Amino acid sequence: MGWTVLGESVAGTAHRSRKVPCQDAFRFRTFGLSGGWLMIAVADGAGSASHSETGATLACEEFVRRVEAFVPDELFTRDGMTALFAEVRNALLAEAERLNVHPRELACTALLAVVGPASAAFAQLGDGAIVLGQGQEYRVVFWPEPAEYANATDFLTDDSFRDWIRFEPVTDSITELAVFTDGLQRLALDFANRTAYPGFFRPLFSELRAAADPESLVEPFRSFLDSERINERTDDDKTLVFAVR
Amino acid sequence: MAEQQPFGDVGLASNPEPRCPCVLLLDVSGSMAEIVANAGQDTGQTVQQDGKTYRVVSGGTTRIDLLNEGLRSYHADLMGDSLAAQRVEVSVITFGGSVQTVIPFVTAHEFTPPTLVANGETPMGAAILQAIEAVEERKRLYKQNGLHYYRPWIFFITDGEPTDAWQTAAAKVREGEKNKKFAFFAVGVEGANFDILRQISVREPLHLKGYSFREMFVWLSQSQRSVSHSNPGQEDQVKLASPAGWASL
Repeated sequence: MGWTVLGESVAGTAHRSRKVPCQDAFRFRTFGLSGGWLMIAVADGAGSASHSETGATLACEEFVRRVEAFVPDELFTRDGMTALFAEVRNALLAEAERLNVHPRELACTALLAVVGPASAAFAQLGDGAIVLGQGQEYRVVFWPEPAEYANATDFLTDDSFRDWIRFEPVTDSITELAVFTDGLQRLALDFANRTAYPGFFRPLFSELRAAADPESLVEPFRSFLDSERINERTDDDKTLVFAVR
Repeated sequence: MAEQQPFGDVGLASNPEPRCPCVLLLDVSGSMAEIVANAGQDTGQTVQQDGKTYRVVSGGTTRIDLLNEGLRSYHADLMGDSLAAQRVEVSVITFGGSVQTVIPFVTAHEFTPPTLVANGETPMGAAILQAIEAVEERKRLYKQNGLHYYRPWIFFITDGEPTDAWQTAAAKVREGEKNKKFAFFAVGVEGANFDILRQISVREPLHLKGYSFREMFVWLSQSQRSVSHSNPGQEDQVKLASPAGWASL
């Protein structure tokens, strides 16, 4: 059975009031035999960077372009994943040079999920989270450990990016996953118990599974991400990509 | 039959907001009782306060009256921003004779602006050390409870010069700024010793224009609001409005 994927980025209310574009980006695609592989890339541009939306978008596009060459063997080792991140980072540095700005101006976080028929590889640099559904339970692959301050995180453009990459290979068949940026962290995760909040994920995955025509969910999903009950809790950009099979 | 809105039953976790702590470190030494407007009748008496001689008059608006009014404006402005009101935490520590924690850290909702009274000398060194310790203690509490927080601010206001030893405090301010443990802002009111302030504060001390405490406190609230709204990647570069409205630069 193939993948059904739904994803959206919505600019945060703080960005809209300052007329700053959405600095989040995402890309996903299925590939391989019978579309049995799915990759999701999500990036959150640094608020203070002048070209953050360029950085975030370029990073996602580069992940999509390059991941197929690393699959399956290389991506399931830490070295292989680091090499992929390094290639994507080099593309950011090259673009910074072309734009004649410091690489810091394209700073962004990066979250990557690559899921095959019976195995998967996950990597994350910076905040946001990847959540897997396993039966009735939901697992956060990398618990977001903050830098000391709530408005600081690590970025792909950092010199020490290799040290910040969190990596996990999985030998299991994943059938539900979600990737999202930190704008949704405090709504989708339970920080007291350090777990995913089931009340958020269960209805989300059910809705996608039950939809006869997933295309019809695109508008309602955007409205949901931009809804008042979400915006009264966060004014940051929000990106959520989720998939079932 | 009612149509269920897609995603209408997606629940949202309730987590505590990240905290944005700010210590208001306020000089309430005797000189803050100086009348700066609406002076009443001269009684013919004089009084010694905080190293100076003052004529006693029958009422008027004092520096500390304006400071108190400023605190009320600070609170009102914060409360106008619902996200900031949930995130900003305020503590008031005064120094005048002794150092007092008048208000330990509370959220903006629970903050009741105090009515401060002026008296005594200016133990600036001890006050700064107490503020730094209060910030460290607060961070320990946050970490214990899994709360996220922004870099704490210490907002220091004085109209005089220290009457106690202050060099240790100055060294701790420098160390704290260097290690990004807090951000220390110093404001000197008319009569403050700016030479000493410049040795204590790493950031250039600001000179309050006249007695525009209210404008200063509204600026402080708006600055705290900006910090409390900032997102990852903005730690070093939170854009603050210019203090030109209340500080002579």
